[in-house]
Amino acid sequence: MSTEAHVGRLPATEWDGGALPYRVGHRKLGMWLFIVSDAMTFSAMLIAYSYARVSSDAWPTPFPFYPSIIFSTTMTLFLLASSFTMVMAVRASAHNKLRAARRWIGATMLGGLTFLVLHSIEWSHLIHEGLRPFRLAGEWAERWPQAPPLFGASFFAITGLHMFHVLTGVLYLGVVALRIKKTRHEDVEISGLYWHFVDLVWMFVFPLIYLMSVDFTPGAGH
Amino acid sequence: MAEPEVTAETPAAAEEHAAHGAGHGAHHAPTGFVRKYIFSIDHKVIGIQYLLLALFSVVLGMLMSILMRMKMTWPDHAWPVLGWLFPEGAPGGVMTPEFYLSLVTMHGTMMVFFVLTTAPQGGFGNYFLPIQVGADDMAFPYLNMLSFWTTLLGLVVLVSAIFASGGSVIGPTGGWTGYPPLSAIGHLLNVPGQGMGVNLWIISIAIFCVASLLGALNFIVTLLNLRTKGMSLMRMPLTCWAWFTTAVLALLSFPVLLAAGVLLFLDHNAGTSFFVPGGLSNGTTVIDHSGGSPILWQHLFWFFGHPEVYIAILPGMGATSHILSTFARKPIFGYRAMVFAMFAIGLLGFFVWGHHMFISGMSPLTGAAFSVLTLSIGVPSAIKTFNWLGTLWGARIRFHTPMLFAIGFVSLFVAGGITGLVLGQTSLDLSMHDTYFVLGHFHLVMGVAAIFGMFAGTYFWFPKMFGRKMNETLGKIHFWPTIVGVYSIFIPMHAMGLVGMPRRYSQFYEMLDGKLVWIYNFNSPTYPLIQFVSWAAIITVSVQFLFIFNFFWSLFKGERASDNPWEATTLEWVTATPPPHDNFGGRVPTVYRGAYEFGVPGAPEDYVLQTTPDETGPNVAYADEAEGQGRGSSNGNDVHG
Amino acid sequence: MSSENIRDVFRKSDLLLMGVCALMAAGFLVLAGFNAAEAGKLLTIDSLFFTGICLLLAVTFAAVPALAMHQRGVRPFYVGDEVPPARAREHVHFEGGTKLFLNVLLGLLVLTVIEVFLAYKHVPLHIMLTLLIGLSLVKAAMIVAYFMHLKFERMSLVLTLIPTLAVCICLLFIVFPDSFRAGALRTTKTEAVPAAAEKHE
Repeated sequence: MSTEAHVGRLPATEWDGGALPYRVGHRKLGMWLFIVSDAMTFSAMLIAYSYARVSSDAWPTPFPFYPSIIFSTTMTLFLLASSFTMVMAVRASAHNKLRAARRWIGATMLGGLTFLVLHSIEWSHLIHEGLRPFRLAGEWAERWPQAPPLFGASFFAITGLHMFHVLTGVLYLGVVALRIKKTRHEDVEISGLYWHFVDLVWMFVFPLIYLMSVDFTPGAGH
Repeated sequence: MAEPEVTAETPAAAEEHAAHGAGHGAHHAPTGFVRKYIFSIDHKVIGIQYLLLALFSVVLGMLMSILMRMKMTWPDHAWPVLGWLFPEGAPGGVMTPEFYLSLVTMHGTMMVFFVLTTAPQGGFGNYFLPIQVGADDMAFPYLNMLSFWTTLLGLVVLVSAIFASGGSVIGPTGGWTGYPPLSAIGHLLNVPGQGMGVNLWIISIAIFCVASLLGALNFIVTLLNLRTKGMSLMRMPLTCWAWFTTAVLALLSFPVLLAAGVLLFLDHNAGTSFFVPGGLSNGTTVIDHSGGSPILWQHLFWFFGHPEVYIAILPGMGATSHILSTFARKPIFGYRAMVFAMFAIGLLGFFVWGHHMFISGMSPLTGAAFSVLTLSIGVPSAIKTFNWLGTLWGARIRFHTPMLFAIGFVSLFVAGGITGLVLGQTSLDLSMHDTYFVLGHFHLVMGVAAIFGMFAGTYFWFPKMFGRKMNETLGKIHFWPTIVGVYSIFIPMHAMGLVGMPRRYSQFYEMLDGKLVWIYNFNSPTYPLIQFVSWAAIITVSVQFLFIFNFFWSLFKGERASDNPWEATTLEWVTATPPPHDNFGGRVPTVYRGAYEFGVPGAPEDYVLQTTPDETGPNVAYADEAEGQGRGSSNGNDVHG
Repeated sequence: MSSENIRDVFRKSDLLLMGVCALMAAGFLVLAGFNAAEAGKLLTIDSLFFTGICLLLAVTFAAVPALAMHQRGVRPFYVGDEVPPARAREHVHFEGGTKLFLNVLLGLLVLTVIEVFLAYKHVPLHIMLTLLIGLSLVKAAMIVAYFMHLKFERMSLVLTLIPTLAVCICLLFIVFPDSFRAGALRTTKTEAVPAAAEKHE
């Protein structure tokens, strides 16, 4: 462009209209905003859990290190690994290696599905022990007589909401993988954003719900 | 009149659009009736759909408020029509207290969610935000359609609560705030309306949360990414700033209500006790819940609830600023200050929710902090008020109907806002909490002022939306009784509150053997006020049907409007009336100046359109100008940092 | 080597049959999953038997459409190496390679192991909470920065998203004084107060 023609004028920045101020397309910006919003939902849930726990006389710490914590750590590892495969899928897609991208997405979905299966095994295990949203499992109630029945409520509510997100994510990734030829790279990246967010939420759910509930009785699970 | 300066879309850009297929703006004008008016993805049609939805809700809400006044003023009078309509809720035509409480709940929910949140943001925002920033549609047209239909689903679920709550009530009886434990375990104690009624209420709110969240996301992306060339942030109309701030508030506050709603739903249905403390009993039944805290619900609810107040009022402020400047024929006084004040109000709106909970027994330290923050909202509010007055100062005002309502907005906002400073102080709030003082305060500032903003917007933008002006005479006849009426309704309420009348009581006196017997004697001085308020409410509500008549009559018989009937400056007045499907007829406007250039010295008219070029050309330079491109890159789907 | 369009190769009735088979396969797959999750203990004869039967049936049903499509040269999941036109115009700039992402993953794993180790050592709860939150914030930052690629976006986007979220989440912490107060009001603790007062006298 000729600078002479524009003497005395300010150069336009990306904030002056006609451009993308963050150099990020609509969909990606939209997904980021959705993530911010969804993060608020999870924060509110976790705050509610913390509120209940802080205001209680006692709170059960029923998870023995082995098997419960080891089991949930395995779940965490699967989720972390799936996050890695997802970022590799996005990278492959950026280099237009569609077959590789689809394979990486497949691996991600596999990680997510494994997480879901392990999680549901854990749920059914706890339900068999007698844990319900409205009461503690029988033995726990004896060990922590002062504890309110809110352990099951917060556990099922928060992990349930997270599982719902994982499930949605797996389905979403499935659609992206099937249509990989027709989707633009940005859409693959957006699905990645969502998946990493699901992983990120687990990075707070896992320590707060599981690790903070490790059984403290001497010798438990060692 | 200056010719609007528009840049034709270059062939390259057009090709880009066509090739993308799914990108925004790629959709063509629909032809079938269903695609055009029902399942439309055109933001203009969706905006009108939102407005009609709000119109339906506001009529329902107003009728409920009249029923409430009737119960309170003539508690023992039998209304045969009501007895016929609600054989259990009003046996023999006399409304029961439970029926009154369900009216309170449904009135509040309808008005707050489906009128005050929906109409200014979903309606006017949807219609005019893309046009005012020079875009051809929202960033996500399909998401936009989805938001509307989700909102409608929420309304349908809420209306179904009227029929499904059991015969004696028309909804939950806990008020629009749905405080537990009543909302969580009321059904276990057989409180009417607390079974299916509460369930449907929570579901409706949750659906509405999702809809608003998606809508807010769409607004933010549209405003940030789709501004046309030259539309820098500080050249945007204040309406756009208002809608943007509102969208940010909605995006961050609705998810918290969603989470709280999920937890309340679990408390109600799955037996959890997030919000239910132990040992509750009504004397016969002991509730088997324990360990929760109702205060937690209050915190989560008001974390949403207070920003919600600003979600309702901010678009009204935007529209008022816009309209005041246009009809005062002066630039808005202190544009930048207005923008920062708006943002400050939005930000502070998040910090003050505790002032709804002063008597919940919160720690005095927290209370003091919330109190100070609450009072500090007075500063940006005062900035806005003084700037509005500064805009009016020395102006040759054109008193058209929209201007009257905009001035009414300022008046109501000040009148209602002042009492906010009273209520924001912990010590005073302790005695005024849950009295008619609160009722008068928030109805003036959040209810009626916001409604006045909407009226102003309707009269102002009606010509652009439908191609015909609304009738001026009817509009003025509508304005005067309305402003006198709303003051007559809500100013006396402050006095009643100071006397100590609690809100949400269905009646304060009854007739025994033809004699008036007060339930609480200290309320007896308010008798003339109660009567006066009720009559004022009935008259004011009747006058509103004049507006509805004017609206529909003008749709078909109104005077035809030109493209720029008010001689305004912003982009919606540059395009045709009503705007074509892609808003600017395939051409893209370029913006050269700020939004409110009225009375510019040396200009041929007393207003200069935003698209009128400077003699020196646009005062910002674009790299792609020399290459002669349109705005092919603004599609947003090609650019990767 | 490319894929045929499924609608060109098969008649409508064939497509319907294949759809039904696929549905049945999916149904049995769900049943197998449900059984595995519900059985409580997976490694019993009964549980394994039912899960196995369901899986076998699922495979049988899935085989019908799969084989038919294979024979006719329909390969719905085939992706060639050629770049489809929708992507050809995109100019994608993507930073970060396998090595970086592997390092991030390694870091996340190490932090997770440290967290789990804290639980193993039975560190007192309030210390553990502080450490866990700190470590989790680091993990979250790593995920956001590298996996979600925010580090490579413009600074303005970072400055828009992160402070907004941080302020709003910190605001929620205002509820905690109330929760401590509620805790102090709970029965056992208030019962403990008179007892302590008696001792004092």
